[in-house]
Amino acid sequence: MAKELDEKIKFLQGRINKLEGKLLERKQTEGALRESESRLYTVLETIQEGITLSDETGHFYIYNSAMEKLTGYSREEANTCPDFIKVLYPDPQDQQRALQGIKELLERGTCREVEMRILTKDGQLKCILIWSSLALYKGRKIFLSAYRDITEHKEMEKRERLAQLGELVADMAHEVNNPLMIISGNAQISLMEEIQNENVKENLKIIFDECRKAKDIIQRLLKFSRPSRGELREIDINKSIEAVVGIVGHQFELSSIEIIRDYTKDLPIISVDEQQLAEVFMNLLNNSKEAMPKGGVITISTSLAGNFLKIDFKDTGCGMENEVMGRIFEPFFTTKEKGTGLGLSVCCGIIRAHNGELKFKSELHKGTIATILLPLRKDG
Amino acid sequence: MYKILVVDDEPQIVRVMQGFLIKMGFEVAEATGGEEAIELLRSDIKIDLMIVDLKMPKISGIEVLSEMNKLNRKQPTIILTGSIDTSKYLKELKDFGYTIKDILYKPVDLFALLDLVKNKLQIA
Ligand SMILES: Nc1ncnc2c1ncn2[C@@H]1O[C@H](COP(=O)(O)OP(=O)(O)O)[C@@H](O)[C@H]1O
Ligand SMILES: [Mg+2]
Repeated sequence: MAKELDEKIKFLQGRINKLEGKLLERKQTEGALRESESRLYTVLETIQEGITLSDETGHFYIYNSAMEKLTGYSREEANTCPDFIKVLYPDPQDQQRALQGIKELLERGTCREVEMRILTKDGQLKCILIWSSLALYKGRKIFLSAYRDITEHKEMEKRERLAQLGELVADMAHEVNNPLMIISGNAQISLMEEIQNENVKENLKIIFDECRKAKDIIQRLLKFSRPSRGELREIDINKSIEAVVGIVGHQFELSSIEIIRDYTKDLPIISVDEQQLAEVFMNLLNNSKEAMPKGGVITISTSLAGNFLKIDFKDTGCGMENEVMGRIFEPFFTTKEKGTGLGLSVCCGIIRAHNGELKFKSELHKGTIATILLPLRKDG
Repeated sequence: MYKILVVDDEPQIVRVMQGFLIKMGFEVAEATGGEEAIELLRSDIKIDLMIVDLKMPKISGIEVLSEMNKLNRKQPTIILTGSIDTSKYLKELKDFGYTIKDILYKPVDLFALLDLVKNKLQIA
């Protein structure tokens, strides 16, 4: 009896030992699991790229902080927002490509990287590169995606391209100036002769006038390509704007365009090339006018924004599509029948030469805001 | 009669300015390029005003101006340039005592040139 009991106790002891062993093992695995999870978490939260894990319905299981930072939306917002894809990728062409990418992924398991533009929660347009791959999770197909912000990189590429183009244009313009002066000069000298034939006289006048137009275009080209600040003067920005508005005001009134001034008083004086800046204001105002053929409102506001002076030209015009927005600073890019496409290239050059920034925000059929930022400190 | 020295490396530009200035009653000495200009400046011809292109191969407008200073010739000078980007030269020009007002941008309207010439020579 005692022997039997003894054996039972031994047996039970053995089981208990085994259980304890198992428990320990389990605790160890759990610990390891937790550790690995925390490691994974650290990786996900440290990595610069946005990372998501999502299913076919668009539900996000993982939506790391970099992704929240990139888009401005939290995981919860992304999961509860109806049609999140359409909100995030406002461009229908991009949406199409997103769907195409998902299809390719499901069919072949792999997907090329795609470049897309996203609209962040606070309204910024960012350029991103997305890689996706298919993963299996509990027997279901899910998508693992990485998103990289390449906005800055793209901007830099664009600036470099523009600078190169600028060099080329400057060289060309330079070469054209001599022949142009020879043509116009000879026309001027000939016009000083006694010319009987009225037709010949008229022809010479046309030659001279057209040379002047060509000169104008070339001057603008040169300004765009080799922006140089001329003589800097200390100015009150409100007064400089007012001077330009004074010139065009009447003409704008006739076109049913109202100009609203929203100037901040007593802004710091800044050092600029006033003449060149006036040209920028003129160009922006004219663009706004041309965007409102049936009339509208232009609101000019000035304010302080950190170390910058901020000038906004806001219109209620036709606005721009993303495709147009992406190209407005290219020389010769125009959507107008009689446009030269040089206005904004010149503006961009001038503002850059002041170490400032020229930015656009636009909504199709609603209007456009052009923002100039000028550094307060002289050296910038 | 006032004598004007016209300097440009492009012969047709020299010809146009020369033709015009002669019509306007000036005497003209011509130099096609900086070398010829310096040669003339070193000679003892009378020059009341010089019109000089900035960008010329071999001897530039700046070098002509510098030689002119060395020779102690003090006649008024008008500077021509084909590029609006004179900032490269602006410092040197300033050192020589010139300002933006002394520069004309090609293609130059001949009557604008005439105005500046008259202004420099102080004739109405
Ligand atoms: N305020 C605006 N509203 C709508 N579109 C604009 C505006 N400003 C510029 N754009 C677009 O940018 C293009 C380039 O402008 P710009 O460089 O000034 O050349 P241009 O005015 O000669 O076309 C315009 O053709 C137009 O499509
Ligand atoms: Mg324009």
